[in-house]
Amino acid sequence: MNDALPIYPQNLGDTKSWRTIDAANQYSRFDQLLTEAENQSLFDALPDSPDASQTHAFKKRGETMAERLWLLGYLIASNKDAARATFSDNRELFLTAVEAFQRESKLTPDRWPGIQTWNALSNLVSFESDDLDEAWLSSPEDFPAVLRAVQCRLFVLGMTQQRPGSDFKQIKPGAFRKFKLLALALGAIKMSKGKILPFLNSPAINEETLVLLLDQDRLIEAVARSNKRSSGKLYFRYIPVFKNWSHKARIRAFLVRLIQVEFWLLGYDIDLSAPLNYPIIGFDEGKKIKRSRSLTKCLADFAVLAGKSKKTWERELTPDLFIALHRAAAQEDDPELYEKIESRVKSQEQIESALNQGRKLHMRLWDGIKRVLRWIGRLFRKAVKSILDLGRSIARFFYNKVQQAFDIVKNAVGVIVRAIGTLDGTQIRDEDNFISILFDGDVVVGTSGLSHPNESLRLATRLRLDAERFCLAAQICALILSALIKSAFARWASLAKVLFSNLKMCLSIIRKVYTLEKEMAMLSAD
Amino acid sequence: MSNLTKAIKKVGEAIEDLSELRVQTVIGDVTAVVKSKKLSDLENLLKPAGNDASKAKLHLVLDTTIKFDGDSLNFIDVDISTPDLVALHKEAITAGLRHRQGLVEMFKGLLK
Repeated sequence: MNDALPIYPQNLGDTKSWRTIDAANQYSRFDQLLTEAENQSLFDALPDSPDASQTHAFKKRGETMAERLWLLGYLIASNKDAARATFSDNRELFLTAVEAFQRESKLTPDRWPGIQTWNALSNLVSFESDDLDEAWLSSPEDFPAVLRAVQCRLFVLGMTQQRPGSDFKQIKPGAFRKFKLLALALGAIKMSKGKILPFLNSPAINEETLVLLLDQDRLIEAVARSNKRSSGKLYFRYIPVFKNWSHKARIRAFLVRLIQVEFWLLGYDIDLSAPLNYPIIGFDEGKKIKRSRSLTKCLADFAVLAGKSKKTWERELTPDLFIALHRAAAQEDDPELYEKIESRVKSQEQIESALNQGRKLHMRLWDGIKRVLRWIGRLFRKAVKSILDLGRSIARFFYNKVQQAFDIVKNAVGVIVRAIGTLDGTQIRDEDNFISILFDGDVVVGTSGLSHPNESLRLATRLRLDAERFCLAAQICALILSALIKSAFARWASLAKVLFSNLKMCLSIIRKVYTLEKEMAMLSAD
Repeated sequence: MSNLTKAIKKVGEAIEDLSELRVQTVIGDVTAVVKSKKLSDLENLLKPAGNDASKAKLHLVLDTTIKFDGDSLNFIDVDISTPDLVALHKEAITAGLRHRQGLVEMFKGLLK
């Protein structure tokens, strides 16, 4: 026997080594993760009919919808938890709020909290603006739900003390003006001097400002770019229009909340109603500011992932932090960060730990996954060639609480690499026989005619096995690449979900491969 | 170059001939082919030394070419073929078609 074959173990009797088929093992692992995610109601948790909305799987989504309706002022409740509870405890109240939202966002007011309502709510409240309806942007005044979302965002960013309530009529003009002023000061909106005052004084909501307000990444980028270096340190730029401490307090509130929202989007368990003060470099000389404990923990965690010391960011907010976050979203290269993150996801224990975290986080984990997928979507839009480096690129955007999402995609890319390796062709040789299946499918069979009759049967079985393995590899490869490309076009549409539904189709081939392996093992034993 | 880049490049280089499928079954002294680990010598081994066909190291027993449009061309040397060899050849055709199917599925999936 010749044991130097490049692809498969040549020792036909060694069935143990056969079970280490890369593609199948990779798939099996991938499938396990996705199944676990599905069990946690991370996928397919929207009802396919009004009657199905009572299912347990929908409960978490329903509660999240209730919370978002509460944030926009459609659902009256004393706090977030009470709002979530209405889904189970007061369905009529919940459905009335759904109907009101549907009317104000020009959806069919059918009280059915299905996919359209879910998407509309998500787009308005999730701080991810890629899928905003064009009509919302061109004429937001026609959609009261959009105005409520603007008011909600201004509230979250510290521009106003008031969330939209049940009696919401219009956005607080002062709050929106503050935001426009800040956007100008940060350089996120540029215009000639003569146009600044009319812009600030106009009550109209122009599209550029609206998109900026609803786009977390652009705001982070604007802050990242808006700083100055002094004495070797990066400082937030003092903006001339903010001359006194009350203005500085407003900037502080904005910066702190922006970071809180960022970590919230990444799946961290952050309370967005936490105090808005936090030390900011170059901002608070001589003043002692109390740190938010949860934000300190997130910042320390992120610092470690980014290869910094824990104390780098947990002491105070710096432009470096915004620059690092912006780089992550913009897919800028950072090999050290990649290495650091890679080393954290190698053990099964860590994966299981991430799954446990996922169980606790429920929807927050899902939001974190969406965030990562959205970044992946951008990668595709930037350059198709980046697909080839996807596994490496994704690694840079992996954070503690989205470990599971990262692992899913990382494994998917691993499957592609290994599956394509399997497509290299197959050669089976022993002293009396050889079979070579070339990559394009051509086959050459050679035999001395001297081998035992049983040998022909064994070769035939081996041929079938290799063909099935090839098909498995090709199909996995096709499905994953196809899903990756589809998700690129669907922006942050759930890549993992697409992969999961597609890869289920591979199960029949995997079963066939295992059956053939058993047959082969029996023949070898003979 | 990443592993994925290399792998995809390999796919691009290898898929040059999907227009037809060819399966050949030969019998004879396969030692040279087995040792060389290459099939490039196969044509030479099939050629007789001088004009004496009996001196060829390998003899083509069965040869099947399946065209893209479904037509197939079959060669069978009835003097030296055996039922075992025919069965093995058929199995090889099935395996070749399955490979082809896998490839087509892969690219179909990418183009959908």
